Amino acid sequence: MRYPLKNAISHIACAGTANLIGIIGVGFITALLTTLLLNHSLILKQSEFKRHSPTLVAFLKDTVEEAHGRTLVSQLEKNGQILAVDYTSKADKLARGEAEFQDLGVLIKEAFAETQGVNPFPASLNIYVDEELITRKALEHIALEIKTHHEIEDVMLTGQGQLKDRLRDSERTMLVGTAIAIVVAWFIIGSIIKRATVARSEEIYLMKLIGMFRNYLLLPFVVQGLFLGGLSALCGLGCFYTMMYVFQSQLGGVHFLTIYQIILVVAAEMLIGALVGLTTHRKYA
Amino acid sequence: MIQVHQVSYSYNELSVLEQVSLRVERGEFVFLVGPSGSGKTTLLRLLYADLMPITGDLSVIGQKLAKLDKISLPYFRQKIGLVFQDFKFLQDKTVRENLALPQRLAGTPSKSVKENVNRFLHQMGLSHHQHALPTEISSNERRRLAIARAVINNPVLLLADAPTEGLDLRLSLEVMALLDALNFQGMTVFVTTTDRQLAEKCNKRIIELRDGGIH
Repeated sequence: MRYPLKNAISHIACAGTANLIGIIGVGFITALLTTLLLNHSLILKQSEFKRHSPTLVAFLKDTVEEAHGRTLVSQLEKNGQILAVDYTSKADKLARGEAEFQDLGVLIKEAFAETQGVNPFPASLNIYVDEELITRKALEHIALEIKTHHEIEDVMLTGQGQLKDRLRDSERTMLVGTAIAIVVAWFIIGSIIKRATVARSEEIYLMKLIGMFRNYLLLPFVVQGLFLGGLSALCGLGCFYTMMYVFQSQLGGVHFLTIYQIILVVAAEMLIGALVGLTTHRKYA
Repeated sequence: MIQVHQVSYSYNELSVLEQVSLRVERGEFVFLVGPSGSGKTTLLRLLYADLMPITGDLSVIGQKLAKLDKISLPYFRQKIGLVFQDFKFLQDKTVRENLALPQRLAGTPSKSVKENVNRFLHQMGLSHHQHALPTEISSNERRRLAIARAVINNPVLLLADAPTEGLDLRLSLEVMALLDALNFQGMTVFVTTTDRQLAEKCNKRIIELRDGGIH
C-alpha cells in the first residue's frame, strides 16, 4: 500500500501551485457556505425559542366581558386556518405581568391603582395558526379578518410568522448556495486533477502499458480529490473561525458551527473531491 | 505464442499494415526486419493491445486480443516484457525506481522487489548508477535498463522495438547477446530492427515487413 500512496502523493505534486490556488478557491466557498449555515442555525434557534409562543395576540377592548370574550374564542376557532385560541383575562395578565416583571410589575400595578384604580393589562386572545400556512401575507390577512370584530382593540403579530418566512428564505438560500458551491468546487477540483493528469499523461500511459491495474490508476485521482476537498474545507473553516474569534465582541453571542456540522462540511467536501477524482479518472485516464 | 491472421491497420486514411499474417512459436527468437515506416512499431503495438486491428485476428500468449476487456488487459500485459524504441522511462525517478516499477505495479512484496532489483542492477552492470536519473546515464546503459525493466517480472514473451537503434555493431551485438541469453532461458523474443545485416549475423528467423505486408 505504501507505493500506491507514494504514487498518489506524486500525482498531487504534479499539479504544483494549482493545488494552492484550488485550496484557496474552495476554502473561500466553504467560508461562504459556513456563513449561510450559521445564519440558518441562528434563525432555527430563534424559531425554537419562540416555538410555543402564539402567532397572533388579539387585545380585547376593556368593555368586553369575559363571557363575551370566550364566545369570541369559539367563533374564531371555526376558522380552518386557526389551530387554537386561548383566552387570557385581565386578572391573569396582571398576575403574569407581576411574575414576569417582578418589582416593575408591582410598580406598574401600584401606579395605575393610585391614579386610576384599574388593571392596566387588557384581556387578550392568544391565537395559534397552522404553521404550514404561516407566511407573512397569510398572517396579515388573518389579522385583518380578526380585527373586523368590534370586540377587538388591536391585533399584534408576535414575529413568529416573520421568523418562519426568514427560515424558509434561509433554507432556500442554503439550497441554492450549496448547489452553486458544489458546481464551483467540482469545477475547481476537476481542473486541478485534470492538470495533474495532463502533466503525468506519459507516465500514466507507460504504467498502463506495463500492466497497471485500474484500481492503482484510480487511487491517485481519488486521493487527490479527498486531499483537495478535505484541506480546502479545513482551511475555509479555519479562516472563518479566526475571523469570528477576532470580531467576537462585535458578533455578540453568535457561536461557531458545532463539531457535527464541521465534520459534515469536511466530509461533504471530501466526498465531492472523491467523486470528482472518480469522474476525472474515467474521462482522462 | 504469437498468431497474426490477416491483420490490417491504418492511421486515418493511411494504410500501414495490409493482410499481415505471421506465427511465432513458444521459445523462438524472431527478427521483424523492415525499413523505417514499414509498420514494425504498429505491429508491435497491436501485439501488446495498445492498438486494435481494423480487420483480422491476433492471438498472443494464447489470448485472443479481440476478447480482452479492461479487467483482463493488465494481467495480459504483465505477462509481456516491452522494450520501447524511446525507452519511456519516468524521467524524475532514479534508475532503481524505474527498474522497480513493473514489480510495484504487479504488487510484488517490497522485500522481493528489493532483492530482484539488486540482482538485475548487478546483472546489467547498473549497480553504480542505481541512484542516477535515466538522463544521467549513457545511451547503452539506458538500453540495458530498458531490457532489465522489461524482463524483471519474468515475462513469457519479450517484445523489443528497435533495441539496437543508433548503436554501433559492437554494442548492437552486446544487446543481442543479452536478448539471446534471455531466449536461452526459455523466453520467446520478438525483435524489430531496420538492420538486416545484424539480424543475419545473429542467425535467427527473420520475417521481413515491407510496404505494409510480409515478404
